[in-house]
Amino acid sequence: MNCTLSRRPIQAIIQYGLFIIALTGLGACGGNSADSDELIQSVILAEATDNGTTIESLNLFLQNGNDRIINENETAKLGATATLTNGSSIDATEEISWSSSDSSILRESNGVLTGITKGIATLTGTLSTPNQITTELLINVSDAEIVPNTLEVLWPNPAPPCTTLSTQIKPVEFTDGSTRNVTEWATWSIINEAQSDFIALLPQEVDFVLYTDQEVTFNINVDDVDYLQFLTATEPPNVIPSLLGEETGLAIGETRPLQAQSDYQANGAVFESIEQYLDWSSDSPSIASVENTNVTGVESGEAVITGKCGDIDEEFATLSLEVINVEFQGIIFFIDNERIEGTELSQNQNIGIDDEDIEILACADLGDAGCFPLENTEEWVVTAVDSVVSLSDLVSIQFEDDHLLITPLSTGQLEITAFYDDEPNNDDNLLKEAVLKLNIQ
Amino acid sequence: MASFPIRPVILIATLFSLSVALTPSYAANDKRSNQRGDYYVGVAGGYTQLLIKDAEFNPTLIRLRGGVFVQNNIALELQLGKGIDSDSPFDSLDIEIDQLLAFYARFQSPTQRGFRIYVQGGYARTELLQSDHNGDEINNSFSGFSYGFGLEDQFKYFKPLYFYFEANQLFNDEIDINSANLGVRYTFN
Repeated sequence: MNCTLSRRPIQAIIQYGLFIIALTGLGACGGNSADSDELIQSVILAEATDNGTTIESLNLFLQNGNDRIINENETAKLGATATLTNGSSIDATEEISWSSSDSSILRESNGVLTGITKGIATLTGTLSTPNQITTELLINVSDAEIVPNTLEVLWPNPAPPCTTLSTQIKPVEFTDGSTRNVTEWATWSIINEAQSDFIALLPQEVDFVLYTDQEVTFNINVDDVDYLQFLTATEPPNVIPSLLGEETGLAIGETRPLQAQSDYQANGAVFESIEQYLDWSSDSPSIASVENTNVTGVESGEAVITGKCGDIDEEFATLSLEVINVEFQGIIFFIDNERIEGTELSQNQNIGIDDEDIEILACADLGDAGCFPLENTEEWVVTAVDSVVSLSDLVSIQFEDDHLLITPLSTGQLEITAFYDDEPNNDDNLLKEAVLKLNIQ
Repeated sequence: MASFPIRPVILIATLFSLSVALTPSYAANDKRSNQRGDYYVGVAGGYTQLLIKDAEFNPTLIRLRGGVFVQNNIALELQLGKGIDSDSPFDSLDIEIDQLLAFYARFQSPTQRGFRIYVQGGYARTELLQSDHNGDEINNSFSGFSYGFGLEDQFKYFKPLYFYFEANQLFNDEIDINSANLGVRYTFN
């Protein structure tokens, strides 16, 4: 059999084939993103399945606590809890995608449900990660009206001013026979806004703070009906003011936050940091100035910082401060407790060849603030002055936590450089340094 | 297309290769070259690395290749691959390579003492088959620019035969597909 074929036709066939494949390949570019997402999803699911943490069931609910009922024009936040195969539960509210079977009855937007017209609609919640699971909830949209002509608000008792207080409207009876929470549905406002502030409007409670010891009038609007409610603050809490940080003194130029820890009794002790609710001021702004909840040292001296609550005359917090000068004066060395500083540092300090374990300490002289020990001895630099004798031949050195122990081995001179960082939070800050000169003889 | 910025590169490289391929003069016949043969076929076994999020799968792949030299030490090459095994980090999910199709332009160095290096670039389409613990199977395909490089050693006692080691990146985006192959290549006229 003659197997000798002309080379050119074979080459042409191969090249034609490659040409077709190349064009097919270029045309087929696409769809990678969807495939990647699908594959990544599979890996997430596999990881969860192997760990026993796939979703077993999904529970949907209204965060206001009402049971599958919402009124026309009422809005309610949705919630979801997922139960995993390992038995634990997680809050899945943010991960759920929602849909309503009939948006003319019930509308959903960003996890908030709105009743549109009377009827029943199916709310569907789907969780896609790690495994897809869907749960449906029948929601009844009601056009019922509130039966009582006043609302009963469950005010906190006691209600100390300048503390975070919580309240809710007692569940209300409707004309359709249901009793429901309307705290989330209600629009809350304060007649005199200087007297109080809302901190959070939550599905089942409203958090607020009182800035007065006078009666405060709240207007609560539910289903276009205004209900006026009144609350008077009780006794102020105990307040312990302080500066953030352990030290009580404040350096010139230093700014530190003020703190105010309050406590009062309400079915047990209630503790809260309330500095953000107080109006702070200084009796000597030229010594210590206050801005919001921060105090800044201006010049040496004493100042009294007071915190008041709204229009209440009584001072809630009083804090005496000493502003001190902590300007860096220099580094002081100690050789076996003998103090070496200033011009003495330019002179050689003599130590004997027979001495052992000579203790070298250093501290940064910060004026009124005292001498700050320099503890990072491993960052100190020790050098032999005479290049003929190496450092290891000259002395043996032990780097302890806050000092050096040196034992002379031969006569000669060495220098010890210690460093102080006066702005530890500033990486570009130039370190302060001083050199101790030792002469071993 | 996810790998949009790569597409012009593929297009230019492919059009260049095609223009070379379709020219009537075959420089592969240049006698000054130490290239052996105008055509070649090869087979390789490959260890593949699929990186998906933090998980790594390692399917094994058999690859067949065929190519034609269109210029001295420049070839157009077609590769077909099939997965034969898989190593999954999960009990509940397995991913293997269903099939691989790649089209490369290959640029190789002259042989020096039996060795040569080469680089290749072009287009690859990798089809993955994922199967879960319920037996459900899903196909996903990933295509785009692909490149690789390799080292060849000429068989001393049979000159048309080369052993090679080659590394490829088949896909690189939200997931990565890389492979390392050991194989033989036979050249002929």
